[in-house]
Amino acid sequence: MLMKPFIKEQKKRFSIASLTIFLSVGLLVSAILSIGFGAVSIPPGEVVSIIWARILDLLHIRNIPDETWKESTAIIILNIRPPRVIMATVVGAGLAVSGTVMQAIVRNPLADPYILGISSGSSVGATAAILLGTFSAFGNYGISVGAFLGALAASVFVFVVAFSGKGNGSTVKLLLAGMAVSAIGSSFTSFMVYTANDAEGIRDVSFWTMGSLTSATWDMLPIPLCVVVLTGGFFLTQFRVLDVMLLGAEAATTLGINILRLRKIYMVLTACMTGIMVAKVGTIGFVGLIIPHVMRMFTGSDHQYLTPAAALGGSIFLIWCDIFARTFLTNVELPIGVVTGIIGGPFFLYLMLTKRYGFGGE
Amino acid sequence: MELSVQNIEVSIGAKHIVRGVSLRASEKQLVGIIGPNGSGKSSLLKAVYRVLKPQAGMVHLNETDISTLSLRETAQKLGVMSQINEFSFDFTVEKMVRMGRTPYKHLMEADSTEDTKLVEDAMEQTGIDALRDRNYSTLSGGEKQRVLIARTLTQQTPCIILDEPTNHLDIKYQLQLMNIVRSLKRTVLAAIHDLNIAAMYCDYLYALKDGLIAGEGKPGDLLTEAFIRDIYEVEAKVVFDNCGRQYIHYVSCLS
Repeated sequence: MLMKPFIKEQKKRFSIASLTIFLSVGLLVSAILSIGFGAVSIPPGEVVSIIWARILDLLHIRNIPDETWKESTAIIILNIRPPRVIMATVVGAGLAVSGTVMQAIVRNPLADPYILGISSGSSVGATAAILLGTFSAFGNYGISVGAFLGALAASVFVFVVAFSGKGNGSTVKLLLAGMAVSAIGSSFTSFMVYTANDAEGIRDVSFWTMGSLTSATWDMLPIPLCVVVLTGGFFLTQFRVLDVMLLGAEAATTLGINILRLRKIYMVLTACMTGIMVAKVGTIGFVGLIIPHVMRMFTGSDHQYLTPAAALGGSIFLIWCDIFARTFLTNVELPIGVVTGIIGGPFFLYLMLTKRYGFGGE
Repeated sequence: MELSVQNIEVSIGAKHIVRGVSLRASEKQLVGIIGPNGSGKSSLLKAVYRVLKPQAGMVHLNETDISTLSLRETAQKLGVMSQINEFSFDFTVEKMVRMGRTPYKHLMEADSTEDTKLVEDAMEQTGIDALRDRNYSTLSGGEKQRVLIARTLTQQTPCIILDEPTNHLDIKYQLQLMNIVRSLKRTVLAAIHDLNIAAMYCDYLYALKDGLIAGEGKPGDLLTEAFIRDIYEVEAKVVFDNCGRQYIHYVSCLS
């Protein structure tokens, strides 16, 4: 009788541990395969040996002469594709963690990282940058700056409305304020697109709003990488608070959690993280909504396991979506936001039909 | 630990719900608050456990003014079992009970074997051992109630507040729960709607009506036929058996 619980515990830990290992290996394999896929297809063995040689070279352990591989292959493997794959990893993890945290904050299974109006706010900023040339002072970074400022403005606005007056920070008020701001933002974007006389610009806008990893370069990576690692890392430590948040404000208070203050802090952090990702790659939908649900089917609502699983799962999902976006049509690249919907939607529906998971309902 | 409440006033909007209530639960006493629906029992308790901010008044735990403590410190001294809350994501019963350890945990700190033992003990004590792997949302009202009690026990606080703890319970579990509460030897302040339960278990009672204390005393002294008529507008017969136990029979409604 006394031993039973401990055995049970070990068994559970083990299956969670095997899930984590499975996801980590999955992420590594996906990344390597992803570097191999593309217009020029490179076998995974060659990918690994070139990267390995490069690492040894960087660490000054062994220098392998360049002529071992074709120079073009080495450039693709070392310079062109990895930033993109790393960006997919970073953004996938960031969106999935944001979604997980947002669903806990508002205790609503429909929440996603863009709930504070971030996607439509950033669209307004990016569209203004593309079509009207606002933010042209920032040169090539104009679109990113516009998107980030738009996201920031929208989320600050939603935040202020939600936390003002009666029903201070109530989740319903937050959701409604987010919807209202999103509607305003979308209308502004549509207005700008409708009145523009710039066919190429309009295509750029639509491409941007559907998200793209095309422009990922080594130079672009450090900011999103650092932000996602730091913010995501912070949220990994917050599992107890996130669990208690799901119980609601009153229960959280009686368990010693200052939920009003923490809710604000978490919201600001997720908004910043999402805003920075959106500024770099546009709005990629669906990842932040479905990955937390998919992972909850395996780990339950326990954030100690859910948050890391969501981060890994989000990365893997986005890497494969990117592979699909690059290879599905020859010579044309699909916007990744289209792919996340095409792959993610049916997969999600399939899980809804087959798994016993309530999606936060009764 | 002694819990004392001085001149608490609570208003929600323009409505004065609690209008200056003082009461005291001494060390290891089980003190009940009775009163009809809408008399302000829940609001008073919410002000004590810091979910509502009182407009006036103070709450002390021994000599400490509770408003000078952090919520975390409060949660280490004062455990609360409130009415069942619904939420959209699910936890297993065991996980729910485990969350009672939250006020003692730092970032990233794993649960110790001591925590596990407390969780096991609480689940055994409340008879929910067999439900440990069930999802909370699939439980019946009474089972949920017992899970919440187990969570409060796991919190290991010297002082406990119960808001209508026997609400959804079968009579067996009502008595079992009150036996557990009494056996804890902690300071307990409980809002109770069942006068027989109050009479059976409480050391002392406060009766609340329209946000004011309408009477206080030991159950045998306070719960007279006249007083029940006055407070609840119900005609009742109060009888005592040979062992001095008090029983309240309801005869008719006055209005």
